[in-house]
Amino acid sequence: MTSSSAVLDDLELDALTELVNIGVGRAAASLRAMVGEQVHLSVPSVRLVSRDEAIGILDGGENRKLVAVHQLFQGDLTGRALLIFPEAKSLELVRAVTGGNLPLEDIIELEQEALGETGNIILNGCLASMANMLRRSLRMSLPEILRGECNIFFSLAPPPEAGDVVLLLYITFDVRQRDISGYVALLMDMPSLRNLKQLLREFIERELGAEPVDEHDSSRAASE
Amino acid sequence: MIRAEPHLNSPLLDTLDTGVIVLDGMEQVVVWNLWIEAASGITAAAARGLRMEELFPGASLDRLRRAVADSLESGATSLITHVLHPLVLPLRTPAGQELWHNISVRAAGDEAAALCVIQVFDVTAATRRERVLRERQNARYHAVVDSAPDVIVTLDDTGLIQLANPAASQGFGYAPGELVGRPVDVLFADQSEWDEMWAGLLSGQGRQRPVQIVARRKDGSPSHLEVSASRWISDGRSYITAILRDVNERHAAEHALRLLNETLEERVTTALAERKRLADMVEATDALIRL
Repeated sequence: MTSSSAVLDDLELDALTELVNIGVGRAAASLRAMVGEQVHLSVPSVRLVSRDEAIGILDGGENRKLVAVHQLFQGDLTGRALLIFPEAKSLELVRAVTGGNLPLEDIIELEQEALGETGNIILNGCLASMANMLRRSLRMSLPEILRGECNIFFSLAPPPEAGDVVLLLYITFDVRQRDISGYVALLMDMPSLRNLKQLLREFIERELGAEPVDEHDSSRAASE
Repeated sequence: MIRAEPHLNSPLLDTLDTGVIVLDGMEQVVVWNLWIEAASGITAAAARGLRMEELFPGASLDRLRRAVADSLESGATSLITHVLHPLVLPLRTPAGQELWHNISVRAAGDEAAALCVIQVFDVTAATRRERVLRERQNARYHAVVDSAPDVIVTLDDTGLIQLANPAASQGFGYAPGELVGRPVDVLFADQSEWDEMWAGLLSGQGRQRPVQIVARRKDGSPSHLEVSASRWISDGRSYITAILRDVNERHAAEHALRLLNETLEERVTTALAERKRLADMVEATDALIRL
C-alpha cells in the first residue's frame, strides 16, 4: 500500500467502483444504441496510485505507444479524465464500433473522430456517475485525442496542484466478440480528492442507512 | 412551459457561422439562431417551445437525446460526429445540398435553471474532400490489391493482421474478413526466416531480401511461400505490408527433381555394381579359358 492510498480507504474505493460501474453501464447502453449490438463495459477495479505507479502500470515497462481520449472537468471536482489504451487496440476499437468491413485506409481516416466520440461516451459515463453522486454538475470540455508514451499524458500543463495522485480504473469493453481493455485515469487536485472522499462517505452512509448491508454490493457488474 | 429568456437571444448569435440551439430543463427550444433557421428551414418563432423530436419527427435522434439528457442531469459535454452518426439532423446548405455536421452538446445555466447548448458545425466541405480522396484511393487500391493473385497482408507493428486481400483468405482457407484482427502467427508461426525479416523491418532496415517460409492453412496443411515485405508509416504508426507468392508448385518441382537426383545416384550405383559383376564374370571366364 502506498502512502497515497491512505487518501481513500477500501470501503470508499468499493463505493466508487460501484458508482463508476453504474456510470459505465449507462455508457454501454449508449454504445449499444450506436453499434446496434450488445456492448459490455465493466470496471472491475479502481485503484488510487501515485503518478509514477500509474505510468508503470500503463507502460508495462515497454515504453509502449498509447492513445488517450482526454477531457477536462471542473466544478467541485476539478481535473483531467483520460481513457487510455494501447495504440495497437485503437484500430480494433474503431473497427468494433463502425462495424462492417471497412478497408484499412478508411478505418485509419475515421479513427480520430470515432475514437473521440466513443471515448467521450465512456468518460461521460464515469464522470456523470460522480457528478450525480455530488448531486450537482461538472463542466466538461470536448474530447481530444492524444498519442504517445504515457508520461506525456501525465505531464500536461498546467499540472494539477499536488497532482501526484491518480485514480486508475481498469475498464474492459466487450464489443462484437472483441475484448478490448484499457484504463480510465482521473487526475485530480488535492481539494478535489478531499471533496470526493467526503462525498463518498456521505454516499456510503446514505446507502447503509437506506438498505440492509447485504444488498449493498449486489450491483457491482454493470453491463447492458 | 416556455420561459421568456430575452437575455439569451443575443443578436451576436445570429452572426455565427455555426448552428446554436439552446434547450431549457424541459428540453424545449429557447434559442434558435439564424444559421440553424436557414439550415433547417424552421423559423425561430416556430421552433421556440418545441422539443427536438417534435421539430425533426423523422430523424433518428437517440444519441442526441441521450446527450441532451446527460448534459441536463450531470453537466456532461458530448461530441456527436458525422463519422459515427451521419446526418443526424436533416439540414441543407444554402445551395440546397445535404449539410454534413458534427454536433456538440454541453450544459449551461445554473442549478436553478439548467440549460443545454447544442452547437452544429458544418463539416460538408471537409467530409466531401475526405470522401473524394478515399474513393479515389480505394479505387486504386481495389484495382491492385483485390485482384492480385498473390497474397497481400498488412500488419500493424504488434503483428496483428489489419488487412488481407481475397487471395489471402482463399489461399489460407479463411472466410473473407476472418483474418483481420488475428495475429499473423496463425499463418506463420516458428519461422525463423520470417522472425528475422520482421525484426529487420521494425528496426527500419529498409527493404528485406525475399525469404521462403512454410505457412499454415486453416486446415493445418503447409503452404510454401516466398515473402517480400516493406514497412510504411501513417500518423506515426508503423505498418508492414507483405506480399506472399505461392511457390508450392516450384517447391513440388524442386522436390521431384531432388528425388530424381537421389534415385539417379542409386541407379548409377546399381548400374556400376552390375557392370562390375559382369566384368568380374568375364574375368573369371577368361581365367577359366586360359586354364
